[in-house]
Amino acid sequence: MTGESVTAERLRRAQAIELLNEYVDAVDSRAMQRWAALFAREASYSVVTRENAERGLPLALVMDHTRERIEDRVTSVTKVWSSHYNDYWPRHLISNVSVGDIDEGRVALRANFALYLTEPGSPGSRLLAVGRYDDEVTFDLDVPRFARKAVVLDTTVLPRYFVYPI
Amino acid sequence: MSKTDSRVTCSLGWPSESSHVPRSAYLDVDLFDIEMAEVFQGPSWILLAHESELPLPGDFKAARLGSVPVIVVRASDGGIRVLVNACAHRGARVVHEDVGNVGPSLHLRCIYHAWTYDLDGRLLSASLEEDFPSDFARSDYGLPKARVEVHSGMIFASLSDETPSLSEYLGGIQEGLERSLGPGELMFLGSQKVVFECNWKIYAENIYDGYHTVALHKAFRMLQMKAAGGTISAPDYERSGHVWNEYTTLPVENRDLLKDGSLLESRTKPDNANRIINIFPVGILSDQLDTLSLRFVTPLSVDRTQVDFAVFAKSGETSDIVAHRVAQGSNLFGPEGFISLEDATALSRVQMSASSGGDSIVLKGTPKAAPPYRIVDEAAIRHFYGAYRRLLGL
Repeated sequence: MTGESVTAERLRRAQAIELLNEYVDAVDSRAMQRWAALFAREASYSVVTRENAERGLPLALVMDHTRERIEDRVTSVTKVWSSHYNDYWPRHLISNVSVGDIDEGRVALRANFALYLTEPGSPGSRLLAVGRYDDEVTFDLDVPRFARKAVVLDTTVLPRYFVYPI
Repeated sequence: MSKTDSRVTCSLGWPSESSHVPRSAYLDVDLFDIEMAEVFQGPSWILLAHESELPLPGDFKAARLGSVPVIVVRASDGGIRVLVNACAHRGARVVHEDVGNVGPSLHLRCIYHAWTYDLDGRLLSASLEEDFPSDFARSDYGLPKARVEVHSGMIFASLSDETPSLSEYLGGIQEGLERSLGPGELMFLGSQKVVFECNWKIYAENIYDGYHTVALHKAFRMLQMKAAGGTISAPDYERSGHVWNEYTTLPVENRDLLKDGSLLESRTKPDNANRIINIFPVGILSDQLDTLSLRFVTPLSVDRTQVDFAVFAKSGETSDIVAHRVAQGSNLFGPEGFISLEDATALSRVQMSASSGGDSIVLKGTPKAAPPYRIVDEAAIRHFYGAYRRLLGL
């Protein structure tokens, strides 16, 4: 491997981690347009439980398998589910980030997360779910975007519903 | 606990008007215990599972009948058993996982002292039995079995000998259950499990309440997604508490709201017939567009109710249809669904302010004394509480 390609690989890995940081900042800021803009033209976003995944059952909590459905999620959160349902603040804590090469144009990005909610009218904050991201990042003219954002929840029974993407 | 005890213990001051529900009924801890004993462990059939969730001998899922933990398990003869999930010796939980298979031995073994049972709950062996008293008989120490009956693949259990046959219990709603679940086999697509932050009765009421659908579910208005008509019926309401909502849908008029409107398509129903049925006390069939689901409802405490949405396809359907059912079950009618998410918020707000006192009131459609009601009425809530009050002697 030449020195040039090693540098390029390091750059892609750094860009993928930066994309994850931007993602967390967007969802924790409840900035849905910014969230959707982090996905590639061909992309998917899904939230599944580990229980269904391990049993090979396809049902998800969220299944946005196309760019159109990702954009429809922005409409759902900002227009359909009016502000009454969106009144909590999410906060993601991320750990164990790992980046691995898939091929020239893509990297695999994995990380653990814990998602806390802070709700008006309730003292303290509480844990909604823990799990991991099993993502694929593509590069379009050196700009990293998610081709796949697959959220796998350890938390099989959610203590309440969620509105903003995980 | 006898019914006489419940009358004494429960001093809610239940109003005589059937359109009123004291809000304290959503908060009273003593009443909750009575409900677990006399409704969920009493003469009711509780919906616990569908046969397609447990296809193989040894497949099980954990559930509860009131406060009693049980496992629903497929036995070696292919039949379904519901066993109390507490060792007959010291009461330890025998099966610890939520779902799984007991293994090829088809035995259940308690980890604590290795007491081992077959799938009929019979005690097969215990470790070091030779040191037990001489009158010890294994036959005295099985896992108690609940009564089990199956209708259209739905598995029901009851801990009471007084419960009538399932067919008699279900009465007139059987036809609706059969129309949705059909004569063929179902394919289990998975579960979504969420806690609703409300009393189980608030969750149940929501199924009898067509009034909220026009006000709360903004997606219907924004999409211009209308029902062509429908009714809320309560067959056998004089003796039962079930409800049967039946409506037909019209195509979505506003096709500009969503970029991918395929989510809202109905591909399996030439008649566009939709139905939501609550089997008293609270077991739900929801068959809307192409989302065919059962909801298994477990009261956890006065203010928390776990709802497991189980979603199904019909055997023999094409992979395209199955994929469509999965997408719609995930994104439209699930607990995180485009249409259904709002219910969780509204129901938790009823719970939050239940301590305000007074009564919750049922008005819309109540000038009509008996069902059927219009699909936008809430009058059928009275029949849920009619059955509930008869059962508890309130």
